[in-house]
Amino acid sequence: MLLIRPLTFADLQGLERLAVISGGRMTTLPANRDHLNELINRTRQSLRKEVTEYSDESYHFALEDQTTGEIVGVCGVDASVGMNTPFYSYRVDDVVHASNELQIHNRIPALHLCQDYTGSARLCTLFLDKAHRTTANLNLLSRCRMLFIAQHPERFANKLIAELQGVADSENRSPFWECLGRHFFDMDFNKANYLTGINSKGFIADLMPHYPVYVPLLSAEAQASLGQPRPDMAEVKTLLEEEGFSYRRYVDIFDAGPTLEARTRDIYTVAQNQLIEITIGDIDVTEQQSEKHVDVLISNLGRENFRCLMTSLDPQHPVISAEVAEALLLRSGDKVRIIRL
Amino acid sequence: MMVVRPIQADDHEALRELARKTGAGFTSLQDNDEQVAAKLEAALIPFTTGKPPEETLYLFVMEDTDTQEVVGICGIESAVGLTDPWYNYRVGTLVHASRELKVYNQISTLTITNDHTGYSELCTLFLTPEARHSKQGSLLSKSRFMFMAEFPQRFNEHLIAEMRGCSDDKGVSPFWEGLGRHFFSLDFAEADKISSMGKIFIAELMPKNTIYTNLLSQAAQDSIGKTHEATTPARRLLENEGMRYTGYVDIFDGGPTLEARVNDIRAIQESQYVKVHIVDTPSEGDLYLISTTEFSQFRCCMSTLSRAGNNLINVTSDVASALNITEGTTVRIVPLSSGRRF
Repeated sequence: MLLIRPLTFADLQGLERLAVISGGRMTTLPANRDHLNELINRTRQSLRKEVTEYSDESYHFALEDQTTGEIVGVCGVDASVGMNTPFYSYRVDDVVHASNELQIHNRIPALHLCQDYTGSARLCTLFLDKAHRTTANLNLLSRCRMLFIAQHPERFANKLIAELQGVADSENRSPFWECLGRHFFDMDFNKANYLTGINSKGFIADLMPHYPVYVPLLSAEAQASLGQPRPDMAEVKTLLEEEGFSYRRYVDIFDAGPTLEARTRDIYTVAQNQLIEITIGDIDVTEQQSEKHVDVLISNLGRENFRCLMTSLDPQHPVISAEVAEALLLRSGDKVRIIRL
Repeated sequence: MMVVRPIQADDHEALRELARKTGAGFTSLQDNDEQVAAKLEAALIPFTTGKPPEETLYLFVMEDTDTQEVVGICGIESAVGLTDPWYNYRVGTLVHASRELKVYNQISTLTITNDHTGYSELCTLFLTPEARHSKQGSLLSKSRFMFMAEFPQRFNEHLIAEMRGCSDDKGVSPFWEGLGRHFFSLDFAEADKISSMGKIFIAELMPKNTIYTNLLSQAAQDSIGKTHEATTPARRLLENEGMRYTGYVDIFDGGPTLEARVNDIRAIQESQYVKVHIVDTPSEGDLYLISTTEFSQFRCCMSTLSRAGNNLINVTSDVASALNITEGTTVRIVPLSSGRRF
C-alpha cells in the first residue's frame, strides 16, 4: 500500500535518492543535501504554524511504500510564490504589426519577462519513481495536494499554478535554453536549473533579458518548444486539465515549458470532494466487488498528521479496513474527505 | 572639365539615365519613372524660391563641360525626420552580471531611435562607372561641403551620411534576412523600394522593442555597422573629412550612419575666400576644390592652382568659364584632400 504523508527529517536520505534519479530535471528538487533539508524544514515549520493569512509556506509530501518503508515519490504545494524572491515567467503576447497601405497584418509573438504569477499558490516538485509509475499512483501523488488544499483553504492563494517541464533532448539539453538562456547566463541548462533550485531564482533578475524577445528571432527548435511539455509530462498535463487547469500562454523562463493555472476553489478535486464519516470494519469480498464500491482517494482532516491513500469503498456506507484506518490515523466515526479516482 | 552645379529642369533625361544605372539598395534613386520625375520637381524648388524651407533636398549634378553630359549626382537633405519619422537602430551595450555567480556578460542591443531628427544628411551620391577616375568621386562628394560652407544657415549643425550596408550579388542583405524579414514578409529590394517612397510604413511594422543582437544569425550580427564593399571608398572619403560611425545603423541593411558637426568637417573648416586672377598656363601641384559664392548659380570644380599674392590665386580660363566667373571674383577654395596646406 502506498501512503501520502508530510515529509519528516527521517526522509532526507530517501529524498536524496529521488533527487539523484530525477537527474536534475526538476528545479525544485536539486541534488543538494542542504536544500533538501531546507525543503523538509520548511514543510515542518509550515505545518506547525497557525496560519490566518498565507504567505511563503511550503508543504511537501512523501509517497511511502508501506511494505518496504521506502519513499517512492514526492510532491509539494507552495502557499504563494514570489513573496521573498521574485517569481519570473515569460508571457507570450502578440505584437501586431499592421499597415493598411501595404495590406500587411503580422502578429508577432514576443516573450515578456514578467512576475504576473506573484502571489499564486503553486503545485511543485512532482516526482514518482519509475517502478511505481502508474496512472493511479500519479493520481494519488498529484491530487492528494488538492485534498489537502480543500481541507485547509485559508492556507493557499486562490490562484493555483503548475509548471510543466519543457522539451529537452536525451542529454537534458533544452533547445529553448540553448537558443535564448545560454546567451544571457553563459552556463548550461542543468547548472542554471540547479542554481535556481538552491538560490530561489534570486540571481535571475541580474541576468535575464528584460526587453521583450521576438519569437521569430529564435531558432526553429526553440520556437517549436514554446509552451510544449516534455512528452513524458503529457499524462500529468492531462490530469491537471481534467482538474480544470488551463494554459494561458505563460512559459518557464528556462525551458519554455507551459505553466497551467486554475482558480483554487474551482479545481475539480477541491470543489467536488465529499466530507463523510467512516466506520471501521471488515469488508467482505463480494461486497467489495459490487457496483457500489468505487476507487477513491481518501484523506484524513489532519495537518501535521495529514494522510492520504487510495482505496475502494461504498460512498453511501463507507467502511474501511483496520489497516487503512491505521494508515490514515483514523478511528471509527471520524470524518474523511474522499474523491473518486 | 567636370563641374558640380544645382540640378535644372532640363536634367530630366539625364536623371532618368542615372536612375537606370543604380541598383537595389540605393534607396534615394530608384529605377522608377514616377519617382524620378517627382524627385526632380521637388529638387527645383529650393533653388528657385527665396526663403529656405525647413526640410528640403538640395540636389546637384556633375556635368562634363566638354560634352555637356551629366555623369553624377549628389544631394543634401537640409533636415531629416521632420515630416516622416527618421529611424535608426542604435547599437548599445547591456551588461548582465551576477557577482555571486561570477557571470559577466556584455550583450549588444539594437534600439530603434529617432535621434537624428532635424539633422542634415548627405544623400544620393552616384557617379557613373565610366567617370570613376581622376578623383572625380571626391569632387562630387565634397562639393557639398563647399555648398554647406557657403550657406550654413540652410543646414543643421549636425550632419549625417548613411552608408550602404552589406548585401550579396543578388541584393540579399544578411541583416534584413536576420531581422526585418520576420516583421515584414517582404524581401529587401521590395521593402527598400517602398521605403524610398515613404518611410512612414516602417513605423507601423518595425519592432519597437530593443533587440538582443545575440539572437540574430551570425551573418546578421556580422553585418551590423559594416559598409557594402562598393561603398567602402565613399566611407573612407567621409571619414577623412572627419565624419565618424557612432553606433547608429540603418534599420534595413544594418549599414553605418556616419556623423559629424558641420563645423568640424575639414573641408568646411579649412576653406577660405580668395579672389581669382585668370592666367593661361595651368599651375603645378595639389588639387583644390574651387566653388562660387552664388546660390542658384553655385558651381564647384577641381583644379590645381597657384598663389598670385595675398588672397589671390591664379586659375586657368577653363576653370573660370566652368565656374562662370571673371577676373577678380571671390571664390571659396580648399585642398581636395586633408594633409595639404598652403
